[in-house]
Amino acid sequence: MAAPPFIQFQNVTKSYGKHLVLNDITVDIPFKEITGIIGSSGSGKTTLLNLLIGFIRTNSGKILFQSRELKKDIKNISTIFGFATQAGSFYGNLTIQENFYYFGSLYDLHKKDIEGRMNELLNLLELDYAKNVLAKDLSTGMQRRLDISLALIHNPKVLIMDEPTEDLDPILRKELVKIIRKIRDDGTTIIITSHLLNEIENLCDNIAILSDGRIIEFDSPTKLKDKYKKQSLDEVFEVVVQKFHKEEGIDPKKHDMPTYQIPFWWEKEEKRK
Amino acid sequence: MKIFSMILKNLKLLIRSKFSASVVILGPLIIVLLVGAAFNTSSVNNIRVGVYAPAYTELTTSVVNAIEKNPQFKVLKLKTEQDCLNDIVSGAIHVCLQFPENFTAAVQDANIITFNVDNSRINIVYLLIDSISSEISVKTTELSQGLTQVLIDTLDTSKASASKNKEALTLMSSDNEAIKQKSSDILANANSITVSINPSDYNLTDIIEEIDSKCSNCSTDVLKEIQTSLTTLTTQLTELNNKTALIKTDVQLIQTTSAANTQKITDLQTSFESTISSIDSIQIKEAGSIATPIKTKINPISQDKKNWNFLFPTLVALIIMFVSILLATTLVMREKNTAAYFRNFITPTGEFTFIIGTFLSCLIILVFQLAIIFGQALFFLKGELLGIIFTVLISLLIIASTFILLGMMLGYAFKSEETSILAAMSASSFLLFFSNTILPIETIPPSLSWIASFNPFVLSDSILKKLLLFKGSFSSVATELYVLLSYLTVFLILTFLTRQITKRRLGQ
Repeated sequence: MAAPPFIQFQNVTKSYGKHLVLNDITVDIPFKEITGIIGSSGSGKTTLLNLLIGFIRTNSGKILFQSRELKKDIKNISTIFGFATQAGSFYGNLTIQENFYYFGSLYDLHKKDIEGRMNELLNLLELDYAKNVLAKDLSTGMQRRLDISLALIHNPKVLIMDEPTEDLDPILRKELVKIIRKIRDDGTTIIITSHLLNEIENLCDNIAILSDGRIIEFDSPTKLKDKYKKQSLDEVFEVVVQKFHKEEGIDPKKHDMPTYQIPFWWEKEEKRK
Repeated sequence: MKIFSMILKNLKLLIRSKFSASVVILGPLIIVLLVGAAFNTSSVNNIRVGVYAPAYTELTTSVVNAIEKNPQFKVLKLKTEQDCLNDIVSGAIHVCLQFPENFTAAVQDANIITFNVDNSRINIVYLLIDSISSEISVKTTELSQGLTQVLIDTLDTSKASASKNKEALTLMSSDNEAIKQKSSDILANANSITVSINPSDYNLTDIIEEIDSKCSNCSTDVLKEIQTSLTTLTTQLTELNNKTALIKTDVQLIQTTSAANTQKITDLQTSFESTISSIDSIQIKEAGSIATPIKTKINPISQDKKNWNFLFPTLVALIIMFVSILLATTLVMREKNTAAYFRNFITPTGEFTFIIGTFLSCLIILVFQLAIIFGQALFFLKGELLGIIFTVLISLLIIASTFILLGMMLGYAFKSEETSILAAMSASSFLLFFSNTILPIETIPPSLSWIASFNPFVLSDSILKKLLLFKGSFSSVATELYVLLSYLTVFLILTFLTRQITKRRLGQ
């Protein structure tokens, strides 16, 4: 009998007011693999990740972790997931070590455990020599690595990375990809979002294509390229999204446009001009 | 053109950021509007005047009634002197008027009203004394006029009596003239009596002997001589008789006039006695007492004389308020603006743990500042704090906590650091304006004054004054502390809710 999927999204819907962000998402995330989520800006990638870590609640549907509904196990969500953000979620005016101690304590870790884990992670991410440097004084690549290491401080089962290679030069990107693979090889399931499809293609074991709040494709990069008979993931993405828009009758120029209600009196003024 | 575009752009950005716009534009306007409306007065309102009198004399009642008639004042009659003094300390009354037992106008020591006042309220104490004194001075003027009228009436009566006496004296004078005249007449009459009744002149014995011896041979010459002598005698005696009759008449007149004068003198004596008795009947003869029949005495209830002592509690409350609100707002904003804010949310840490963490951080900084201030204060207060240190510490903790949570709430409610700092400054200024620090809240309309009495800064100021100036007990500040605890609870809930809102914003 096959093991149940590691993480399952079952008919998950999320909206902010009238704006539907995620629409009936159903997808399984496999264990100890790197799953990439790709999609255009505003397609709902970050919302999907925020739902996963329990930062926001679903309107309907379920998210299961090893068959347990996460909503009912809210206390453990934060220990299951580690989250590395694009912006770097740490205190610039604290040293690497101080950041570790602070966030380690928030995960209820003892000082000794924090120390042990910190040394382990700093070695893995090649930051051990800069332990006492203020985080704001680190280079962009080091800051990104520090953020990943902080996301791993509590030894999470799943590492979520939101655009981790964004803003990095090609050399740093390569370094980071290496590190992500190392983490995966250590037994951590990784979910990653990115705009850089070539990188995702090389890094991920599975790809989920998200458009207009829906997962429109989910498979390995090779299978996707084979399915659509394309050479690169870039081309696959373009074809899949266009096909979806055509089938659903969505005008790509209008979709996902943020709205702002200009006060009526201002509108009148503008028209008069 | 470029500048116009820039102005237009800036205005659009400001207006579209509704919250910032409301704080930047409306915040100061609302403060100015409220402060302007509130302090657009020239008198004090809703002054609670405590009155204590061991016995209510007619004058006590009339003075109390005069104060009561003025709608500015609300008179509360208190049973004991201590109740009256305690009520000032507790803030239940503004001033305690203490009347002597037999309060009587213009009587030494029985005409002094003691104003027991809280001299720590420097900016209102003289205004209160002035307002109440003006009511009492109306009564004092009335009494003074009454006393002067008594004097004038007595003088009038004395004048009438003196005029009457003057007429009597004139009459007596003319009578005396008459007596004098009569006496002169008598003297003249007496002088004019030429009759010399000298027996030798008349040789009556010889004549009688001669008549006896010679009677038989009495010649006509002898008889003639006798006749002449007798005629002379008769004439003289007749004249004497007449003079004597005149003298008798004059003497009788003198007697009558003297008797009349004696009566007049008796009348004058009676009149003078009546005048003296009338003057004696004036009770108040001292010029000072007539001019000021009711005296007032100011009795400050705080023994501290230096302005520093009076300002110290307000200063502490002010520091706690500004530091707590600004510090808490800044800390929360810094936290919100760091990229690490997100990571905090995804750790297995309760919302209240973060709130308590920020709260305690502010509290530690504040405790450090207060330790310096109170270290200096101990030098001035000379160890008087030690007896009430526990109550002071509890109170300071509650006061600081209330303002810290208010600051945290503002920090979570606003998006940008600048706006939140402006909001914190506006909130602090608002609380400061509607307190007793700049102008007393009694000078604003009663309804606003009542609301302002629940201002957390006013409550904090009141607590610290009671404790630091009057060495009050816990029970004396319990009501204010309970109100502050209510604020604290509300601010805590609001802090939690606003934090939840920022979390939701972050998720979007």
